[in-house]
Amino acid sequence: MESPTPQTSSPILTLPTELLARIFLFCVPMSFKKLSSDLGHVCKQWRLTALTTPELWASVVFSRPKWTSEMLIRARLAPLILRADLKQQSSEIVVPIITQNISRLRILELTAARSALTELLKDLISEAPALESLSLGTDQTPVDRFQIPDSILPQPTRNPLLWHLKLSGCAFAWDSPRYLQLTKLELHNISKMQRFNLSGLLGFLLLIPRLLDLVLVNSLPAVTEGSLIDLPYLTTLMLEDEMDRVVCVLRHLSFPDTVLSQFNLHTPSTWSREEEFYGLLRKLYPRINQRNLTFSLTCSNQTLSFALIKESGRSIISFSVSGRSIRYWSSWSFAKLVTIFPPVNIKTLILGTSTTTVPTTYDKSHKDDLGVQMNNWALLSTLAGVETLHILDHPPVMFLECLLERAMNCIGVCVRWSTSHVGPDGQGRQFLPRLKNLTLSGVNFSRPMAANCPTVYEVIISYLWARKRFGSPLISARLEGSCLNIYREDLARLEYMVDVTFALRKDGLPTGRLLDFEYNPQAAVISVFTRLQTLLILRNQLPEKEES
Amino acid sequence: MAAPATQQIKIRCNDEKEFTVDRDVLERSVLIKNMLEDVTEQQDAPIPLPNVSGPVMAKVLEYCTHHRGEPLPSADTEQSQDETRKRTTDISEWDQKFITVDQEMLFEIILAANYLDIKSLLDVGCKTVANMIKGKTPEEIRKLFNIVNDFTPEEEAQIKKENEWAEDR
Repeated sequence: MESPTPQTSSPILTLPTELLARIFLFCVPMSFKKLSSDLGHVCKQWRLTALTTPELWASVVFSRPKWTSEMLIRARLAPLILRADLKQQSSEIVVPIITQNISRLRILELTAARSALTELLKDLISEAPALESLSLGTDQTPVDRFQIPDSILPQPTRNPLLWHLKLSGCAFAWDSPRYLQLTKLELHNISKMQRFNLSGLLGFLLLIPRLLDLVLVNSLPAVTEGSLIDLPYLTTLMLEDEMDRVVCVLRHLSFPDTVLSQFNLHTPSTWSREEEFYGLLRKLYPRINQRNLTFSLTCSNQTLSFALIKESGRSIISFSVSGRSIRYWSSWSFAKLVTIFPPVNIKTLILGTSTTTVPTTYDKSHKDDLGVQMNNWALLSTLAGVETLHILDHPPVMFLECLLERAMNCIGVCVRWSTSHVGPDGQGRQFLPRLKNLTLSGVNFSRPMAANCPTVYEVIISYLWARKRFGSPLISARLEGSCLNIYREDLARLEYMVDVTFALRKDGLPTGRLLDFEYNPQAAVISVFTRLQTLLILRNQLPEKEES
Repeated sequence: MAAPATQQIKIRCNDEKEFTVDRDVLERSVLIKNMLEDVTEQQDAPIPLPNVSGPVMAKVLEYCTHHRGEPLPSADTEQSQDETRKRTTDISEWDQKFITVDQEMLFEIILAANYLDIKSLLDVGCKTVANMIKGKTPEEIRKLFNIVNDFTPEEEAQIKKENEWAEDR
């Protein structure tokens, strides 16, 4: 190829080759297959840069034989990343490539049938001096022991670089010295026959002194008692299993409160260890000092998910609970979590659910604990620092009610009278007083909150109006393209309250929504509010102190 | 007892624009840090930075001031290795807002971060450009960055052949 003639009109082409190559490496995640070639198809300079950056081509793809050989040539001497599923790709293609490139193999991920795995690995990687990461997996659900001889691995003296081991449905003997040099260990789906007992697991972890990342998925021991062990260098921890097992292991671990942790809890019909789990979180994370945290609480049909996310986008703590009825998911979890974690540092709040089956306020079966739920949501008052609220899909209805009720109380419109909204200075106190930005994703503007109720959108627009009227308006609202049933008039109403960013073209929206709101917004909002509150009172028979 | 006063350092950009900045802020730049360590006596003359203009330096200083006090990544730290190994393109919310600038300024910042040896800022810039590129076709990338397709017909044919090899089957 001829040398490229410099193009002067494009600022990106002023970057030297090494910086362009650095950008390219960020563009190509190691698992990605095609983008490396796309980058080389933009212009001559980019092609030259791509072709002279061997690391771009080092993640070898086996599914396209011509491309495989081309990538190996372009990767030159760069350390290789090989991923193969031998149920889909022929070992006759994969194994020779591994053998020929054994000296520069950096990452190897192999999935195969159990019967083939040990035989394939025999004499294959024991001589890999540069191997840093090895992942071995079988697809079968393990019911019995499947132990791979550790002689397949390079001796620690020949390869001190191996830092990551991921085993799915198989394991080396637990006393293998090959575990000792690891900094990241992942065990997935170890059969119950092959798992440690609790003291065995704790003793095993103690023997891996440099362990930074630990992932145990469906591999935890049965619930027993053991001694507390300290993992002082741990930086990430992921445990997934039955809730009892996770809680049991967690009870026996001590680690720095800077560890990023993820717990996926499978629970039977009753959530018997819930209090203990929250107690452990409180103990393990006595203080979280980061500011500008994001608090996310979402659920799908069978899973409740929580995350406390740092400014960088990484979760400090996340957990999900699955297999449990989510009837009372939101308010209860919200209440527990805001008492554990530091509400003053939370700047962004994400709430929503991807299911329509979440019970609404007006479900009669809920009336007994409605007051409790309202009180739980009233803990919103502790989230004084929240500036951005994301509402996803179907928001927890009572959360919106609480926001609206407080905002209306603050401007003197009450159905259920309460003095709690008035501060010592006699001024009204909003929930989320610093809230400035609202993002709506997947919200159906026409969906009623419940039968005979105002729609979610009507409640939101009423809330925005009440905040504006009170003198603490929100500044912006962002509507993602996934929102449904938006009319052009809806946008006009929103724009009357806040600056609106809308992902789609406004002129493509339908028209025809009734606009009584525009002529008399106060009457429209009070109508929405009183309909909501009256239904609440009637259907749930809450005591009514005063009406205005 | 009053805290000791922070040493102030003067720098001069290629457009003669001068800044007086706290030493710990400037030391986010490994280049300037090394320069200051090499100078044993206090000097009043500003440090010349011939490859950076005043407006770009103002942005760089905004970044350095926000991140002052944070540990400087060294080439061999676990975090640094991990970042490179995983090639993640996550950018913190503040950094995202900071780097929301026009393309010309974005590439000027990248060049300045490279020259001044501020690895974290260089990564923010490179990741931002990478995020702009990801998921786009070559034609979309050309349009985004105003790049002319300068391939010859023979090269286009070769590229077409490559595409056929690389397509998922």
